[in-house]
Amino acid sequence: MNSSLVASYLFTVDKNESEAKDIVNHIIKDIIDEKIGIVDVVTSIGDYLTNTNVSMRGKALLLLSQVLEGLPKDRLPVKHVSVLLQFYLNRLDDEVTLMENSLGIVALLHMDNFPSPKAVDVCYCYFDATDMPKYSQKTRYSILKIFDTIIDEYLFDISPNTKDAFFAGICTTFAGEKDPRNLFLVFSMLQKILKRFPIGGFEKQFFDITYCYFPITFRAPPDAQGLTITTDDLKEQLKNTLVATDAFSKLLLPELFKKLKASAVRVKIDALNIFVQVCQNWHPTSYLWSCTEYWESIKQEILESTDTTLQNTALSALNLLTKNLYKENGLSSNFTNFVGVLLTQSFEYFSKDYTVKVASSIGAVFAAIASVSLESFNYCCEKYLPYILELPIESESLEKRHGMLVFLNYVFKCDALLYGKWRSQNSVDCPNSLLPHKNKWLSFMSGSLMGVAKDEVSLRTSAVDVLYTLSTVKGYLDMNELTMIVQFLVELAFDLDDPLRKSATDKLKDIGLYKPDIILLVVFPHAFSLFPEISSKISSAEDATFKQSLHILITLSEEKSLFKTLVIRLVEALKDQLNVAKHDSQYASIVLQTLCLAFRNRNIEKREDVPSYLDHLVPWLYTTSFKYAPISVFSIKDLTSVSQIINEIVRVCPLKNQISFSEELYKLYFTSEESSLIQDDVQVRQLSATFCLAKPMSDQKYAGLVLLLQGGMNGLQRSVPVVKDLHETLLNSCIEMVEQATIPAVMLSALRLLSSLLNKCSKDEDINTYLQTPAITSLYGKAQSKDKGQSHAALQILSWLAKALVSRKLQSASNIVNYLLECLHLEDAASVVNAFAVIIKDDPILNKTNYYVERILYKQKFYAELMPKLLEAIPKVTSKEKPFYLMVLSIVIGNVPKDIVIPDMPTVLPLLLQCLVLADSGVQYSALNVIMTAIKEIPSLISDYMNSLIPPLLAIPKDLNNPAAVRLLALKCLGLLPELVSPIHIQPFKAKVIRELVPCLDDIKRVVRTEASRTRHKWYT
Amino acid sequence: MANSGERRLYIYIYIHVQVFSMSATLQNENPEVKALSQLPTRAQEEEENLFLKGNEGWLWDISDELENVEKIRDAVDAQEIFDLLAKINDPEHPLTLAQLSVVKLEDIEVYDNVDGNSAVIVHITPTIPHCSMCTLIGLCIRVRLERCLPPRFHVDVKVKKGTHASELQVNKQLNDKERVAAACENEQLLNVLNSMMSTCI
Repeated sequence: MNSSLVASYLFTVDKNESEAKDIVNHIIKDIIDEKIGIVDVVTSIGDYLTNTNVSMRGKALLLLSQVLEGLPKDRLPVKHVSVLLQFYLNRLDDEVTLMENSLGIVALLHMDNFPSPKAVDVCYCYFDATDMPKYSQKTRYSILKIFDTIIDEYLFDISPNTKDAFFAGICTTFAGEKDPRNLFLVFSMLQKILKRFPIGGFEKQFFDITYCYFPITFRAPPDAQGLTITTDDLKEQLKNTLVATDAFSKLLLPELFKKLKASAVRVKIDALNIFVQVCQNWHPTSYLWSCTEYWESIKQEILESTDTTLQNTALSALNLLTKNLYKENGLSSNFTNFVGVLLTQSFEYFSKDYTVKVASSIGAVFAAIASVSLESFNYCCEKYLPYILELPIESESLEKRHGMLVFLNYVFKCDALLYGKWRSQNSVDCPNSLLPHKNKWLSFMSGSLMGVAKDEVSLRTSAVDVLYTLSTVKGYLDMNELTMIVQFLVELAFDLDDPLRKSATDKLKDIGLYKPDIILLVVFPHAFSLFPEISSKISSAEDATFKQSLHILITLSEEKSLFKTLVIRLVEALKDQLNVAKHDSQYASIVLQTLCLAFRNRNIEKREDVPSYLDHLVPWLYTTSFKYAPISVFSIKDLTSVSQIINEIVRVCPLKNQISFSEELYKLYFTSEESSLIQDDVQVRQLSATFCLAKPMSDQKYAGLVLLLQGGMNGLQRSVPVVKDLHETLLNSCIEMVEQATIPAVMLSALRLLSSLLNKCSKDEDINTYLQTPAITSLYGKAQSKDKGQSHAALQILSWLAKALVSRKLQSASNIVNYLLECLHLEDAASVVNAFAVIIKDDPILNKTNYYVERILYKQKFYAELMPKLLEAIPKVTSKEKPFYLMVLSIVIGNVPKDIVIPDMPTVLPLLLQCLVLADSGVQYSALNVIMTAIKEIPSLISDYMNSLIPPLLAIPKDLNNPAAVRLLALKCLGLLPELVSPIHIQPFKAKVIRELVPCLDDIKRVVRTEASRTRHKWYT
Repeated sequence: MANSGERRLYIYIYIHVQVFSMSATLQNENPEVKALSQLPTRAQEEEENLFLKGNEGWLWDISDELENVEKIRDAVDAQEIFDLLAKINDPEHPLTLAQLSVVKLEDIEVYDNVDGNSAVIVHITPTIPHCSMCTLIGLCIRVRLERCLPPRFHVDVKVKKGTHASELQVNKQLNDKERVAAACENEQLLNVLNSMMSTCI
């Protein structure tokens, strides 16, 4: 073998690792190719191995070890392995090369031809020759690695004769390890031994070298970057080691209980976690003997807890223990004795002083024990509960009554768990053991809820909770009693001043899910009786109650059948109302709005029953609107609600139903055929027969009906034929409608319909062709006309058309957008600014829920195309035009995703600051929004503009003409500054800001005041 | 002049003792604590306007209603004052004054008169009758209110009757303008106050 190779390895190994590695690989390759033998390697390093230079010896040995490590496992014959092993073992007394030595031995241990009986010899040699505490961490680690390999591969070669010496050696070698990395390895080795091998006779030694690490207090030093082991890892490893064998039972548990009695909270939690693991992994006999000891050592923590995590862990351990005790023994004396001790002690403590804190602890103890099984629950209830129940609770103080309620809630939660809730499938044969006490408790609970002052909120909340729990237990209460509870809750829910209103409503909702019939019987009649008299004028007090009742009804009608009934009853109420109404009625408006909200909420919650209303409710809505809109019983606002209800129902219907609906809608609005959307009403049928879209345009009486067309059409999917193909006439009539409409809502509705139809149409070519038709091209001229109305309408149409095209990312959009940009030169460009707002702002109706096409990144594209043009134009325009350009800039920037604006911020920010002084509050709002993002994202940029930023931010909130939302936003921006901008830039303004914020502290709106005080607080510190 | 200087010195020493006594052992180790959910909030009242809140103008034109709402003045009430104070940290425990029931909604009196004199009177309840933190807490409440309320409010912080051993003394201290001003000039004390108020964001 080339000796220069060895020499160059020795030279490079501590300078250039990869080069050294190449040399090693070269040697390995030579051995595999049989150019040289392993003996040659040993010979060529022979001289270095006896060198007086320590590092030379180490490096030479490292070379040999690395070569052995890299060789294929079956390369060396038994003879070579044995000789090499002996060679390595003989060198053990050379302590300075121990690490390299161990590396070689590990490599040999991995060889296929390693003679397994020799593994024991290796151990003995190491036990004799090494003294662990003397060595460095790395050396210790390499030695431990040898044992790890032996435990992995040769553990069962250790015969009963050699076992004792092996264990003794292991315990001495492992003891006293302090480095977390080594300790981690030690723990994993111990686990392997403890789990696989009987350690008879050595329990104490093994336990001692493991338990001495409890509790783990290790904290990684702050500079230890490479240390990947955390405190939690170590804790977990220690825990696993301690619970690896149940032979530790008698040693571990007493120690743990000692810790539970007296140590820091953190240590107690660690000990409890180990105990929980014990209960989960060990054989029951090895820990069940400790039940009573466990209770004695932890009861203080459970009964008088100071730390909730600790208390909860202790309780879950108790629950686990009791569960296993029951599983093992059943209801035998072992179990009953244990339970007896616990409950007697707890209840004695309870009867002394049952405040809320104590009661909830005792309740949790009771629940932990009783919930184990039905049998144990019945046993506990019969034997121990009467003790509590005979306490003279009725005459006690409110505090004690509160405590009792909290306790009872735990008992009944257990009861519900074991006997099931209403609608649950499991049925229990034995009668509920809490039945005999029903009457007493029910009257106690109801007394606590209804018989105390309203402001005893916490007491009454507990009473509501426990009554609710009680009412969920399957078969416990009869119908009368349930009715009574529901009546109580109704009384609270419908009382506008009751602080418990909301929680009572929630509970009613939950009861509705279990027992809808009872809600129907009790709550509905009550709520409907609160409705104002038909045909009377509604006073403001009545109005509030009415809205409140409707709100409650919607909230609790979550269950399907309840909701259906609610809709039917509301429709009936509406019918009665409309029959007598002569002009628009507030009653009908409120009911329609409520229905609209209800359907919207149901769609948001993704309820599946909404489409079922298409067959009956939707035709009724069309018929009624056709009947009452022309005689103005339905106002435009009502028609908006109706249109939205229709939309909510239609948009979630399956395609097939949508197609048939769209056909009927087409018949109704565009032909004189009979449509099934109009129900049997002679008068309306006559009207609908002659009705077509031209009518609303010529006669304002019918104008509102356009809203219903839009409501239905917008909800249709893109594959419905009417939507899929582009209908030029339909679009043209929409345009005509916009031009002729006098009511803003009708105009908006027609615009939305136009935009949605164009946007959802399937072919791009059709759209482009349509854009070339005279109907569209003539708009460009009209937009610049002197007639204000005409120009406004034309601009509106163009903007909604552009919205449809921009969302679809069509190239033809840029024509319209560029044209609109030119229009900014007009005399009064406010409507042009508005047009840009239409294009870029999110619309509440035209969005994905209504299948509006919104291509990915369309806002980004729009922004990227428009921004350079705007920025180029702004410096050139006249001072009169400038505000309009700034407004467009601020609106566009305010409505695109913030991330894309950030890179442009340095150019845009000065312009935005100019927007702040414009009078338009919408512009201010969006400018402030962007400035807020800028402050958050690039505070360093903001610090250059403090002089021009702070004065407007202080002026805006002081001016009460600005809307509250703008005042609020300005204050929020101001508040962000001291948090994010460096103090050097803040300091000069501090006194000024604090002083000038004083008037804002007296703002008329509370939200603004609160924000002002928050902002001021931030500037103080 | 000499007298006033002497007095300031006395105040300084007094404050010093107060601040440093904090690092000693806790006075009340296991106070009664209210859960956050038990504290009074405004949520219930705000629900009132559900027709404005529920849809946020998503469908109907509500600008009229909004304008009306904008114009109505929200009066300063006890809940508002409570919200300002509730989150102040106790100097001893990592809990807020509201959780410890030092500040209670029912113990706050507010007289809000836009054109004339308005006043806020806060009665604080120390956790134990001989609590030496009482003055510090009272001072913090005072400073907080003075920073957050418009100047038309006269602020009065008192210990609730019968809840503290040296009630009169504490009350006198808390409402002595000069002492409060002196306290606010002491940087160390100001740091303590700021750290107590650091959670009020």
